[in-house]
Amino acid sequence: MAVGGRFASAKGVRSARVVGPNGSVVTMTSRFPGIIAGLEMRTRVASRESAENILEDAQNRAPEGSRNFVDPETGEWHPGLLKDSLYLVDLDIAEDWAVASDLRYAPYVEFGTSVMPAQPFLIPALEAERGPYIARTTAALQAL
Amino acid sequence: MPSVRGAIIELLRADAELVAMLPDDEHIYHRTAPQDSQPPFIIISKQDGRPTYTFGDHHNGSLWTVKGICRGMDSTPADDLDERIRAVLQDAELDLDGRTTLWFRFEEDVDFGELEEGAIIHHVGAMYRLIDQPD
Repeated sequence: MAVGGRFASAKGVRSARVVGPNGSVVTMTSRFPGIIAGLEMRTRVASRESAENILEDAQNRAPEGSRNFVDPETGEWHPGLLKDSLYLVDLDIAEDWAVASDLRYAPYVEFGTSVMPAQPFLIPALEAERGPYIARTTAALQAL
Repeated sequence: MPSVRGAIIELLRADAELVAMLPDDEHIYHRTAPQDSQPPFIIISKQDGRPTYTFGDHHNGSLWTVKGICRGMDSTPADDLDERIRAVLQDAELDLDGRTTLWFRFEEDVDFGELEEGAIIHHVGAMYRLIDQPD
């Protein structure tokens, strides 16, 4: 059996012609280039969806906040200051996203201070999405 | 010992090396320290908890934050507390009524400073994941 050394690369598809002992020709096509191209896109979409869910859940869990903590720009307090400060960051590393806040007191609320109990809003949102994220990514990969 | 927090505090109080870093073994608090407490001390708090069901059975997963806290320009006392806490808690078997510890292990650092009247209060610790199941 001889394997023809001709590989065509078009539209992300590679193929090889295999010539059998009786002269029959079989063309084998590799789907790997297409799968690899789709892999990153699909996992990225799944990750983005999970990141958005974590953001929304964290916003719903974020306490309205103590009046001791004020908006660093205006010096004023308003209900939902912490919730409004949360946003998504594309870390530009594979499929990584972050939920962030620029408020100095955000970690104080999440982890507590020496005199104020923690009121976790971000870690529970992250943990709640752990299972759905795995399921979503699995489904995306199975669709390839 | 019925509660996880009680079991963690009991483990920490039983370690002489750790207690020697504190004014006394009462300086280990759940959620928050009393208003007039002076650092260094330790605070433990539950960060998250949820059951996982598998074919009708279930186990509990929870995240616990355990922090060493000190005051001043130098975070070394809190760093030292954190280091000893990890030595005590990593892979420890918690004494829980009616439940068995399957896993209790360091998960992620917690490290930040709190400004209070011009002074810095250092929070140095970690989150630990506990997985336990009913006996």
